[in-house]
Amino acid sequence: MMTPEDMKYVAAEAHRIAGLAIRPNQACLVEHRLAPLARAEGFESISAMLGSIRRDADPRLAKAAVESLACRESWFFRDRKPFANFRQDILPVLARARGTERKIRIWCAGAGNGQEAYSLAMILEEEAERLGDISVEIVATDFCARAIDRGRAGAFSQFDVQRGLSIQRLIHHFEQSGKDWRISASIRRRVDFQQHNLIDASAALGMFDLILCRNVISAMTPDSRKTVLTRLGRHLADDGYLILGEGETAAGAVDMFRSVRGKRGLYEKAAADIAQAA
Amino acid sequence: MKTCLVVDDSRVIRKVARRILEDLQFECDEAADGASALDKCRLSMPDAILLDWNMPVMNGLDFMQALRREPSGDQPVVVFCTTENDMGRITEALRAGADEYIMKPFDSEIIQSKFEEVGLIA
Repeated sequence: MMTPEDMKYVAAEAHRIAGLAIRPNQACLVEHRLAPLARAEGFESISAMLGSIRRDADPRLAKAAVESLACRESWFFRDRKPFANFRQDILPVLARARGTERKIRIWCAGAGNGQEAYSLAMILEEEAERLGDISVEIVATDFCARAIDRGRAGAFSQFDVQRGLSIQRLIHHFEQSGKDWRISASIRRRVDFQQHNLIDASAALGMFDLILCRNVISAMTPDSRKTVLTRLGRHLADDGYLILGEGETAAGAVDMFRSVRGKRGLYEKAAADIAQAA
Repeated sequence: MKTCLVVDDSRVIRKVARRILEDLQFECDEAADGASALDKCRLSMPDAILLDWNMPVMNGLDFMQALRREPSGDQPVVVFCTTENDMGRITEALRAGADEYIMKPFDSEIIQSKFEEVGLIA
């Protein structure tokens, strides 16, 4: 059992390291997430592991613990609507806007096990003829190392491939690999996975035409939310788009983004921010 | 209310599927093999059919091929729901006229997702 002091410590570390908001009533969830790590690291309990982190000021183990808390579940084409928008509206607009550069860059910020990035990659493959020689790069980042490993491997369970995926897409884009289904090499090649903490500096990632950051900031404290949104804004081209998760808003950074009328969760850069940058 | 015929030789599977589908606002009927499913379809074509493959008397694939030859037999959306999870079997079912395909075991999320894919639920 975790003590209230344990919970306080976990919440403070989760906020310090990853901007996460852990509430005192989430003890069950925290225990569920930390128990496998405590076992794997050879501790007899979560409290023992936390004690060791505090005593030895072990940054590796502290980070591993927060990674366990940050790992999220997702599924292919989650919420559907953003992907329909991407295919019908965003992609054609960006393709026109980048008619000269012939290059579009997309960032899945908080990509989890890769389902979101791979969903976009499937659409790109299906739209290949219309895109012609425009190259589209997808960078998928997540704080959780395990998620990045799983994303790179591109192997999904029978359960995973039946949530959000049509049977036609399963047949076209996956191959059977033992008990799992592995996404085809041509789709895997379209996504570049990198471990990255959204509250850390990120200059090396470069500029993007579209950023998806869905169901990430809702798990963060208001100050971290603002930090992350501001950071995302700095990586977004002036005529680029930001997509947040259902029920998430960019209200924490109103000077940076404004919502696109009639498209919930879709944002473009605020004029003020563009003027400031120019 | 849309109708769904649940075809499976396991009474337990039919019960589980029926409960999930009723939660999704479907009016359900059941059949334990392909032959009795065909009889029910001749009386009244359902909007959807959740269809097992391996059953006594008439299997799911034979049933679907017979169904597709019936008057209005092209109307029901057929969703296979079977332990057959080999790519070869999946393509065989789709070529024969299946609209979607669920590999068992399933849960309510999978049924909902697959029924959304084929437009049975919004």
